[in-house]
Amino acid sequence: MQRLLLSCLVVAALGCQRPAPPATTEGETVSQPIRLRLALNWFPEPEHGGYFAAREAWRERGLEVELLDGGPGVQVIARVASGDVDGGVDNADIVALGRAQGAPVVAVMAPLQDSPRCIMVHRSSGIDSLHELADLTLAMSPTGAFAELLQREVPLRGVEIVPYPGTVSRFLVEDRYAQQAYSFSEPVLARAAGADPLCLPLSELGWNPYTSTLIVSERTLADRPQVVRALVEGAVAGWRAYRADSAAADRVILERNPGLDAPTVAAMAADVMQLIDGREGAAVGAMTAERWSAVTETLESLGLTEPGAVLPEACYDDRYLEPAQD
Amino acid sequence: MSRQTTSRTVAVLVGPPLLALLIAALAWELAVRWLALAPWLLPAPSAVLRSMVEHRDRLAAATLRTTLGAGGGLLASLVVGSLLSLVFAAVAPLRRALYPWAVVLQTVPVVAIAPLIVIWFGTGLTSVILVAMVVSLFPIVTAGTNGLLRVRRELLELFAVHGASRRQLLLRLRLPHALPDLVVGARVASGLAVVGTLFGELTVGYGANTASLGTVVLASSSQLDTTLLFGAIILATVLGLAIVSTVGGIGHLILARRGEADSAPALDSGGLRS
Repeated sequence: MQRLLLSCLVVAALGCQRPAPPATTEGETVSQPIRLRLALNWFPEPEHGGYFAAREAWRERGLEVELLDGGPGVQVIARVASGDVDGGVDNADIVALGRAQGAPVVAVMAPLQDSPRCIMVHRSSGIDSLHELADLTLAMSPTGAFAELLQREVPLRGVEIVPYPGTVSRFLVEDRYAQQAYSFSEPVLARAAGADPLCLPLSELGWNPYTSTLIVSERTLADRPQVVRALVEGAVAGWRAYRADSAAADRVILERNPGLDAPTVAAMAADVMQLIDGREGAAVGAMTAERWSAVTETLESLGLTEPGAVLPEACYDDRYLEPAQD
Repeated sequence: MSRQTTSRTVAVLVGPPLLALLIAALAWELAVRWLALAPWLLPAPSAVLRSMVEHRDRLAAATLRTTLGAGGGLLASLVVGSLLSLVFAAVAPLRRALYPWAVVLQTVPVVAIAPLIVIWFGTGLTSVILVAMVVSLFPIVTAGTNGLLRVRRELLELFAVHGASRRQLLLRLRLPHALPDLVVGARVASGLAVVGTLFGELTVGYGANTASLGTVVLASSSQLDTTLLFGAIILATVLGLAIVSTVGGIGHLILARRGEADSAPALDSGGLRS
């Protein structure tokens, strides 16, 4: 009864979207095609490239996976936790924040080992470290832990913080202007428009959460282990395929996101490749307790989660990932 | 009306909604506890209150900033809207030429012009006020223009008979007649100003270091902190109610004073001679 009422509430809260597929039992096999829906955290971009390249790998494993476009304000964690979708794609810090709020979600693979989060400045500004950010306008929205961290760790003297505009147009015309960015997105767009941007990674401050992680709910992980296994293995195969040759998946991304053009997607994809292996050269999708601990500890230190509220080992499950190096 | 009667009237007006609110909050609290709902899905009212207390400094600063935006936006739309109404009422060719465009402009989504506002005016309080003004302007222009024009023909004839100037016609006849409409327009605009302010804060407002109800909504929703999100929603609602009530109260006072004035011999012919 409680579950039924909860389902009703969730359906109402999510605007009566398509109902989740019926829960399956532990005995479920993947011999028959199983339709799954994954919610992306943003419009299709190369940061999701491996998932777009995984279609065949998933089919071979009996899955028909539909990738749902994300966008501003999309709530991947809520959709996954409520069962509105079978899985999702979002960053490690968002997973940890969701768990702090009681959302039972788990990351099952992390394709981008290093975070692309950075502050983009003009190379001509002479600024080559986050600690040198001063006397400029910084476009940065209050939507990420990184913004809190930057303000705590860097004096930001003479820095006027304005909302992140979602474009690079103002960056192109103002020298003393910086903005939050993904290393493979805004800098690529700015370069294409003739600017010479420099990306100052937030990892300089110890902020390096896994990006574009594949997320499922605890319930899915427990009730449909074979499906999750096929999902993870297919995704890993997809990211390997994307790393080898991104062209086919990039074409799909271009079709799905007409706001991009082919050269931009190719340039973005080239940068994304650098993040798949990561600096530690880990296997595709690999996750470690240390990396998750770094995220949860930072969130705690920023006061975004209560001390001990999020256990790093509960945020991820790597049982279906290969331990060996690629 | 005696003080006792007034108290009874207030109790009758305020009592039932308050009681309904208390019952709804109690049912909500019990439902959340019984269903053991996670806070990201639906936090209990008690948790929302605790969160509001915990974040009181941030929420107080945010509410103050949003109040500034909404107040500024409403004031701007009152001034600009009233002036436009006066122009439209006084100059018929201008009204015929521009009023339809005012209607058309109202249909342009603010979300589409927000980037233009950023390009032309930058970000911050000024731009937030501008968005709030754009959103809340039209009801005042419409109500004001209609009110100024909707004067009984016999009164116009009476003023004409007495040789009233255009200025006298406007100040002594049209404006007093338009006041009830303007008050209604201002009341509608006051609610819209709060909506416009929150929207402005999300699009043309503030960066990560400035607290406003819009940025609190943005930050809490991105962090799945539904409890704090509810706190911001409650404060935005209270702010909206406060502004609508204040405008309504001021309008009531103005109309009451006008009612007293109406009871006096307003059409004193001596006053109309220039």
